[in-house]
Amino acid sequence: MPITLFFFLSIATISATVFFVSFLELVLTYRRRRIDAELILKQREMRAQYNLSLNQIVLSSDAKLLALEKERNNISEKYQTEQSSLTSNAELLTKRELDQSHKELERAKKRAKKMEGIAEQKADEYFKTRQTEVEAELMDLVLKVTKEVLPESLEYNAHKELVMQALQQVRLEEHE
Amino acid sequence: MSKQVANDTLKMLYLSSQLDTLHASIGQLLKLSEDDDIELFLSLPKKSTRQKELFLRKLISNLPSELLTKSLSDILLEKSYDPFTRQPLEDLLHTLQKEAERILSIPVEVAVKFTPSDLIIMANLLSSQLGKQVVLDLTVNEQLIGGAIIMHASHRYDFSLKTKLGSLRSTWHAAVDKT
Repeated sequence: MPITLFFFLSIATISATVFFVSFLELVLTYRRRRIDAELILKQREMRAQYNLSLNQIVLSSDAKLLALEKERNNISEKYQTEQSSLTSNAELLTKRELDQSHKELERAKKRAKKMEGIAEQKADEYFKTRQTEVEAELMDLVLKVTKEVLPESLEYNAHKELVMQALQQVRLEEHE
Repeated sequence: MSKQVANDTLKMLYLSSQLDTLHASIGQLLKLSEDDDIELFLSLPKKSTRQKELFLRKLISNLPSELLTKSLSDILLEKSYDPFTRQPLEDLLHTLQKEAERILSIPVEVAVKFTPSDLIIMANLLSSQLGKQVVLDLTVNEQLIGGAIIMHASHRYDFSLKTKLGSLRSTWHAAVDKT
């Protein structure tokens, strides 16, 4: 009896233990599955949120890009307008300045020609003056040398003859 | 006699400086004569002819004019002291003075110093040219180079080589200026 009891009890205990373990396993599995499901849900929510935020970011970026593109286009248009305006102004200015430059050039040419004429005239005058001066200086030099040399080269009799001639001239001139 | 002596004396003149000293000598002698200094000595009976001649010789030799000294010395040698008494002496001196005043002094500028013989020839030539006796108021200016500058009757006759060269220079300058 006892053995049967014992046996029975043992089997009952083992069975109870297995049952308990199985039940615990079941509970735990259930809970684990529930957590997994929650986790998956959470994960899905987070992914959805991520996707949402990503979409928002993309949308925001797109909007910014669009704004930037618009601004770029505006700037480009403005630039082109200004460029065309500047180009036309520049062309106008260039034409005016070109005309002015031509006029200035003509005037400068006239002035240069006039100055060239004056310079040529002055050069001629200088040349003539210098030539006259040189000839006069040459004559002065010759006379100076003559004055230096003549008294030494004139002999006493030549001096006497010159004075005699001069004395004779007095009479002649008085008659005249 | 006095005219002859005067002419002989004046003939020897050829420079105005000689004429000036002649005038000075005449004046000096006239003053002595008018003061009777000469007459007084010559009339002294105590003085011999020799003494009187010596006095006169000394008096004559002190005269500034060599020409007058020579002429009077010749007279003294020839005719002793008689012509030196007051009246003949004053006659002679006055005649000399009068004749000397007729002589023309012509300023002449020359380049070199000439010998007295040549100056006499020149003075004689000028005298014959002008028809009256002439003495030269001579100045030597080496800058003239040659020839002479003669002043006569408010005219200036410039026959110097300096002026001739100057006029040649002016002609040259004028010719150069024209070209």
